[in-house]
Amino acid sequence: MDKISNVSELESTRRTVKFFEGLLRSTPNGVVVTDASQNIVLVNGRFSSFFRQHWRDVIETNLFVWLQQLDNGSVDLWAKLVDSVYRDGYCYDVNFNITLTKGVRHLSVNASLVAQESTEDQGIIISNWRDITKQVHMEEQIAASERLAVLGKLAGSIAHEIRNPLATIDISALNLKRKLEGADEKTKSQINRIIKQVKETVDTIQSLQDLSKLEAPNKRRWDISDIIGNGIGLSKSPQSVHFINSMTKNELFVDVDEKQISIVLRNILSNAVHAMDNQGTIWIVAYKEEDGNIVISIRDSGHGITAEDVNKIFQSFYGTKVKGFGYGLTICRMIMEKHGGTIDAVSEEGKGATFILRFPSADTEH
Amino acid sequence: MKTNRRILVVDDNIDYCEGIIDFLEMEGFDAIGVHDGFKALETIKKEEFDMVLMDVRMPGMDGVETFQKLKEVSPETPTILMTAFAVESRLREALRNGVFGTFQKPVDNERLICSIKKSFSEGAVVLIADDDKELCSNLLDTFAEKGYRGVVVRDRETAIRAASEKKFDIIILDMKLKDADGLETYQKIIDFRPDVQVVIITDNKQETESLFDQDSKNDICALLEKPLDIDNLLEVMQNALEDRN
Repeated sequence: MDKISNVSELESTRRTVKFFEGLLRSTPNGVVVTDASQNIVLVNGRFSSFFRQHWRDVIETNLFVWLQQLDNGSVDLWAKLVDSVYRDGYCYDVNFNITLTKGVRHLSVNASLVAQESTEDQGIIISNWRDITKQVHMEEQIAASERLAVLGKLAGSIAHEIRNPLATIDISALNLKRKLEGADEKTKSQINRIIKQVKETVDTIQSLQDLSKLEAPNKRRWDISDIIGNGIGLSKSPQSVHFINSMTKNELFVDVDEKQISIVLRNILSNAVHAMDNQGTIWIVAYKEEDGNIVISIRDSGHGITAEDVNKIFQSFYGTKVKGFGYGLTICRMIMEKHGGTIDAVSEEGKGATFILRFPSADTEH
Repeated sequence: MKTNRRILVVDDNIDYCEGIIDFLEMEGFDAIGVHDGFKALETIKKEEFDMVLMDVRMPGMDGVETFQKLKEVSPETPTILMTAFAVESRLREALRNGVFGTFQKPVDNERLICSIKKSFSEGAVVLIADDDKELCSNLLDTFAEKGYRGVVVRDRETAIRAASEKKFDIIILDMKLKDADGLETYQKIIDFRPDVQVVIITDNKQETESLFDQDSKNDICALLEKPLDIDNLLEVMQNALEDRN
């Protein structure tokens, strides 16, 4: 070969290398190339950023170092992936998770065997790591809404079926009570217990039916201080819980369905009271943001929420120590969404939690 | 010897039916039970009753439909619907059609008896929705002298519930009821009790007048300003009752 074609081949190779380097830098996915011993031959910045590292500190290390920083079972999962790749030539959609302070990150991996040109290239795997955290959250939200819709319908018909026998128990207990007016205290207290438990069951049924009836909000303009005042009143919080609420009348107005928003406030406040074991302080402020959105912020002095839980608490059936079915916050999110707003939680374990309700600007309605 | 009031209980749930009958008998009423709408109509045609307690969801003909047919046979007999199945629209329809009251099962039995007794009342039945204790107490005394049966409620939820459980001849509604929007409460009640006479009382007549549109203004019986002129109120109420008859 003459010099000229060598030079152009070199140029071509250089361009190709630059192209691939650019590709590695710009792709939103992590890219790792590992050899048969799982040593990292090539890696991009994105993969390294999952572990808050620069790629220079990741290249030429062993993948196991990083797999061990992922959630439990990741090492075994990778081993299975490697087996699949050696057997079939590829392996797609393997999910790894990493728990960080901000929450859990979900990574979906596609891997394939690099074409083997020589014995040195044996067992080289190139893997593509895609961050699908957002997608997972969205899927969870959709699933939650669907579960809630089904639950709602079911709740409505079950509640009805239960009311009839409850009514019979109730009236018979009342009749017994009348007939046994002369009986001893122990007997009378048994009957009172029946009557009381029937009432509690009815309350539970009522909240199930409220859940099933979540309709489009019937919005009217309300003074924020009335909304907050009503919420505090309805929460029936014990005296040992101190409220700091600086809102005054005529300061701020918002367009909401008061009944539905009361449910949201009631849930948040009762969770807060629980989180602080019935004593502490709850701060409530409301203000208008620059873009016109109206915010109500509720902070408590309870034990806070862990990073892992912060996203989960809005999912159906998630309950830690909350009495009832644990679906309160899911309903709150549904109500806020129906209002065109949002609800978010910010918390650090041990430092209380803040719930932020955001309503769209009232001006957009008119 | 005074004959007891007779109540017909209509419910396909036999156990519940018997329980309610026992309860009513202990309260001094005579009660018999039937288990479907057709039997109910048959019975009403043959015998006199002072009140009908009817379940809504029954096989064959439901309570709302049975009530419609009952009205044709015996229009003066008040009917109270009891239901486990709380479909608001159906109940609202029934109330607008003249049902005396609706209760959700399990029924609050004390309030049920109160409704039953109010239905037998010779004098007008009046709902007073106001959180001023002294005023309410005065009104109750004054009404008692006139033979009116008064019921006092202090908040919006109880007012709406009372209005759905009993048929009132007159409702006296305070615009500034605790934590409530007076206009909205009025509209909610009028929706399922279109025939009730409403007297609105307010601290500020001008302010309240501006809230009501012309149609509503024509519908309400009177708009009175506090402090109330009791004689004026009584006159307004008497006129309203006479007009209605």
